[in-house]
Amino acid sequence: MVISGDKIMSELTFLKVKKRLNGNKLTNLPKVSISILRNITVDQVGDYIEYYGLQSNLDIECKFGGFDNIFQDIIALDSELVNQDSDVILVFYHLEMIYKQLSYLYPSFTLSERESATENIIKFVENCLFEIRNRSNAVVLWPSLELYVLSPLGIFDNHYNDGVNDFILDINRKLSSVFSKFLDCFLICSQSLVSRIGYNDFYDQERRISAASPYSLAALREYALESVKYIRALKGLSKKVIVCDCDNTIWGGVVGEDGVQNLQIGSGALGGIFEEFQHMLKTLSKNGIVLALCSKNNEEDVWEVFEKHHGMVLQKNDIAAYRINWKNKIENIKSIAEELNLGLDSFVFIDDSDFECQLVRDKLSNVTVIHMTKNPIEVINTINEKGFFDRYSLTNEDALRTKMYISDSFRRKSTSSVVDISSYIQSLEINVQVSYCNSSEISRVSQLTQKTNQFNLTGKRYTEQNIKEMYQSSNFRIFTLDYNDKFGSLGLVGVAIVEIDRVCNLPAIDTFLMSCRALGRSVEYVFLDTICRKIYDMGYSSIKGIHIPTKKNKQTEDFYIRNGFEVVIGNELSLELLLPMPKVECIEKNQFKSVSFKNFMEKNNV
Amino acid sequence: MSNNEKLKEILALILEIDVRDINDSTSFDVIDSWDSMNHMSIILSIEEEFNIKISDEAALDLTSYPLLLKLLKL
Repeated sequence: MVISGDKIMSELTFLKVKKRLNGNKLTNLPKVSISILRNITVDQVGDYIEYYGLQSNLDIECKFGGFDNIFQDIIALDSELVNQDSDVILVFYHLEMIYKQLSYLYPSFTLSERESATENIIKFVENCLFEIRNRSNAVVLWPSLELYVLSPLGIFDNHYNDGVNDFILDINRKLSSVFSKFLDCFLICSQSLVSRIGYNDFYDQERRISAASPYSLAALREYALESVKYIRALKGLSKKVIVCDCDNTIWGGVVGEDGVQNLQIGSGALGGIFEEFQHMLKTLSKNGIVLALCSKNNEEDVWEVFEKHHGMVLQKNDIAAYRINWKNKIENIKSIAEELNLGLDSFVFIDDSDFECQLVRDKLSNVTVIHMTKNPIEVINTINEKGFFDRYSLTNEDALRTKMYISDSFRRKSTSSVVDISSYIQSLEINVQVSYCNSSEISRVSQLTQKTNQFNLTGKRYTEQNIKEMYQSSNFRIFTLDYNDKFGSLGLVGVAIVEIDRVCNLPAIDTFLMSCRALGRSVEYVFLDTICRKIYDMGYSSIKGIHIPTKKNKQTEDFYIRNGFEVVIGNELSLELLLPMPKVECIEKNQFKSVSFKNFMEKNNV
Repeated sequence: MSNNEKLKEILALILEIDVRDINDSTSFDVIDSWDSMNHMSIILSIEEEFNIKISDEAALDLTSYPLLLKLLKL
């Protein structure tokens, strides 16, 4: 691996990532399985993660959970996403999806509304971590909530001490203490990622609203890069040794030519930068990274600098191994590896000489080579950015302490925890309202028939004009479903169009669809149940269901059968089913806080 | 590489199909792997490669190779 100080990331387009992934796939690399749970659309992050995985010699496979089904995916029986085979679980829990337009609503929140909003989020995250830990040892990565870079209250947000960003910071602080109780669960600081590439490039404001996809490709790339740093550490791929040249690498100037006191360390512009670089090396060494010197010099000259130059931050006892002689660096680095008994693939080598860098690259290809440019700041940034030396915990004691904490405090909490889907759904306090479509909803209904692919029983697309005609016709009933729960409203997310065949006196469900935002909560069962009951109340003794398989609606193929419909006729192109009524009571209904049928405008001509 | 070739490359890589199989009938309805997720990847990748911005409203209808070609005025 060759690293230079300059930014290469901005040139990494999605197409290049795809090209690399579709290219020669190495199968003998260590495999890592990542499950990505989310309440937003982030699917492209998987490609970037797999790409950065390959860059680190890892064969990463990403699996995605259902849209806005984080908790359901965790606790599902035989979950494919959270189990003993999962290595990493990455969770995107985006604030704007939990509380839509929070920044606008927040100023009118009462104190108790704020508190319960905080409580809801903390509780949810805590329950998720708890249930994950019950099922899997996977490392959990969870980006924290992002601040509003531009608050709708403008500068006023800062003026009263409980502005929306204070609210978010408070939640993040509380989350951070929740995370500290769980082993191998990490809260990723999203705000740092936003800062790295800047607010304007991080967000896709239009698609946040239209596709629940708030992040740009560049943002997803940052999330991937950050996640892979954890994965590398998990797989023991972090670097353990840093081997530095001396002249023009840890100090400015050449000791043999300039003399000890003329070297630049500490004072002067360049001296300040070398001082910072030494601080970085010293911190790494304090945290267990082995620091070694490999320099073509007279040994006593080098130690004289350590002893006599007042700008030196590093001390001789920070250096675990050294080869200060006139032999070639290949032999020297190899012998350092033997002395330390560490593999060359855990080595980072830093040198200002193009010649030495190239030599090490050619002869010791496992070693990561960093060319010390004229500006050491670039090298400091590169090391921080790449996360070569990232580890989970600084010492074993840290890890142990955390572990003890967990076994203590979390066993007793298990009684209060949510354990199965049904009680989770109950805890959401779902209210569902079914009604006849009114004229203001025609456009939304048409849009849903156009856009909904997955949970769409017939896949029929209708224009606004089509819907309007059905709305006006006495042969059609258009039902809509509105959803809300304790987190807020999802709005109109379900549509059913029932056509009444006057000749056979038989109603048929021409269209039945649910937006994927509302799936995973049994809403579809309750919706079907409610409209069947309504049709029964109108005096019909059976109802016809139609299933037309499309390329995208596989998950609906047994929906009617599971709800008591019986197949009448059909082939691979279309299936007609019949449900004798009254329909058996739908038990899912009992998990909801309320299910109502609201009759805004009962048509006269039934 | 011409823009047409670039577009074909995007479709081929994202949909995991052969470049030579891309023709006027290549569309959302015909290609199994062209689902809504890959559709989004295609649109985002086109935005990135051609340095343009496609509104989500417009993206919804750009569901075939000929329509994408037309968008890029090739």
